Amino acid sequence: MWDLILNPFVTLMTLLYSWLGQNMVLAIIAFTLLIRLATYPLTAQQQRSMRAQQELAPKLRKLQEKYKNDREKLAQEQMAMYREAGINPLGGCLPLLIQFPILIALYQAIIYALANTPTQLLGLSGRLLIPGLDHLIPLNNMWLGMDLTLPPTTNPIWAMALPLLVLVTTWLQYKMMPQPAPNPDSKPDQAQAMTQSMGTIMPLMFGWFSLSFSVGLSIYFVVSNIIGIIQYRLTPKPAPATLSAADESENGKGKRVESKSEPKAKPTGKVK
Amino acid sequence: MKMCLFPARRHWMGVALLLFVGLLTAACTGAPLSPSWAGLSVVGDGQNILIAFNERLVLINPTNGRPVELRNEDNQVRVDEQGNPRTWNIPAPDNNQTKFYAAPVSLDAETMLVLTYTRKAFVIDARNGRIDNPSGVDLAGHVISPPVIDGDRVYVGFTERNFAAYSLQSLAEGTGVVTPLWTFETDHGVWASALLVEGVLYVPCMNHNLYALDAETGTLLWTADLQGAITSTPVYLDGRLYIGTLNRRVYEVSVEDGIILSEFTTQDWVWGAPVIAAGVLYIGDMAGNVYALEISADGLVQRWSARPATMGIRATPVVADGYVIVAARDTWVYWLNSSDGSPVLDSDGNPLKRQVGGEVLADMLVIRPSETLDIPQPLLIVSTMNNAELLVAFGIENGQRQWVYGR
Repeated sequence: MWDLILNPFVTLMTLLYSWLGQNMVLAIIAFTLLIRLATYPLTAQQQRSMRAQQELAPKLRKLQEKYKNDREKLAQEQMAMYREAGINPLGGCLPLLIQFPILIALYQAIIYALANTPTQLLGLSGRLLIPGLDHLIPLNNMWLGMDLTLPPTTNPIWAMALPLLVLVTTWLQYKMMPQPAPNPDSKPDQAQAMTQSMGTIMPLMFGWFSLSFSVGLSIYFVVSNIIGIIQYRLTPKPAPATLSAADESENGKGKRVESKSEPKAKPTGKVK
Repeated sequence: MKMCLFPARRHWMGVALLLFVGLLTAACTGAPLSPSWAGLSVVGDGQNILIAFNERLVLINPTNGRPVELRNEDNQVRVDEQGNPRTWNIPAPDNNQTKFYAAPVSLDAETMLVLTYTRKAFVIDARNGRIDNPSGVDLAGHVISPPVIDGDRVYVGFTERNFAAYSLQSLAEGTGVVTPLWTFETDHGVWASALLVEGVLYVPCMNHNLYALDAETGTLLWTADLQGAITSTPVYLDGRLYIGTLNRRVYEVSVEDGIILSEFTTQDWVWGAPVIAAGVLYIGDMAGNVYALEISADGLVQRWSARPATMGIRATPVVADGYVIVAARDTWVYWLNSSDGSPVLDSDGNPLKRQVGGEVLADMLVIRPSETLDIPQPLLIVSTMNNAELLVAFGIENGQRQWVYGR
């Protein structure tokens, strides 16, 4: 079943390698770009949903404060607010879940295509759906003096720049993500704290992984992060009508309440 | 994280998601695989089976599948401090850092040479089952196939894009880095052993080329571009070489000039070497097919083909007693009639096939019958990728399982 996704990916990767002058790095870049383009509608929906929910966050907090002793009522009001604002609260989770197998397959396709030992190459056997591609095997895995199948630590010294690039681009990508608005009372917020810690831990984690993963995978991480950053930049903000609807829902009578202690949601899409 | 429904649980969900992503990312790269499979060889008149796999070399008694016991000059079994028998079982000399995939080769009755994936050459005291030079000699690259030894020369292919000739003495007695006598550079690795015929080395390379080199000087005599990666050693017969490639072909090549005399197209990659018996070449492919090709004046002509296996056949088929026996990645060993490829039937009228504990990738061995060794019928030795069944012995005549060796 998994092969239904993976095998076309491996074949496409090998085709791109063939078309792009048998350059594995160009193939990885083109492949990542194509897959990210193909999943763009899902990613865009996820990002729109996240931004819209961010915009609604101050109103949501007010609701939480108002109904802090009535969880059932709170849930009803939340759903009503989402409905009126035209937001699906699962709109962020579902696209992410759908994309996950695709991203894993993309990731594995790179590993298979970069097979460097007999047992790894056996994993590639039977995955090329176009017979004429067999003559390309083994794919040329050298780039700028680096062996793309080996981790940076066993490559020339300049390969160590890749984990650093992975770390920086992952950090930038997290910085581009919509941040939760601060609490009106300026107290630390759980979601905010968690997002901040994610923004620290994830880049470090992926940077660390890149030290032991192949250089080819690091290139994929970097390209994927850069595309993600561009996508965040290009994602439009939610329409003002959406927020107005939410305001009306919150106030019940269509009256907007302004509070000096409630700052507007921080503009997103910029690197701090 | 912000898109989840229950803000109060965000923190824990976020931490869980973080861990999940971390684990998944690590899992996606796969558990570290052994780079290759076991190297097997039969040693001496006792037909002991030498297995080289990962961090250990073990000599197995073909009669019972147990490690060979070491004996003293009085033929008494040697025992350790606890009174247990000492066995021929050599661990990696450097805290399991060394990895063995190429079977050791015998230099004489008392000495073996083993080249490792971890770029070392060690000399083995065959009588005492120990490594003579634990520091080893440094090689130019990874080795996954056994070297070819001819007199005082050792010819070895590296996965790092070259093939080299060493003096046997330098490997056996040297220390540190040893300089090869000559090196032939290729632009891809050499994964299979070379074939040496009348002073000419035929070197299969992953870069699609089969090279003929002068064994004395390393001079290139000719190159045959076979259009596909070559992962096995060619077989020589009557001035011709027979070899398969990952380009789904089996080739017949002239040893004189490397001209391709004929070729045969298979359904999938041909990874293993062919075997030739009575003028017929038998070979498997990675789709699970077996082909019997007649070697005729018109080239390679298909006599029959069969598809017994559901996954690839990497190991070279064994031809014995009118049977063609193949072992596949689908964990089964199949007996076929060599005349037409039909399944051999057991006493109940069912196809004779036997399951083993893991994928079969290593080439099989045949142990001859021996009264002295109490082996009444020829044995088929199959090695799997499952540590619990590293070696399984079957009777060739009836497919009966004789013993299993595991770690």
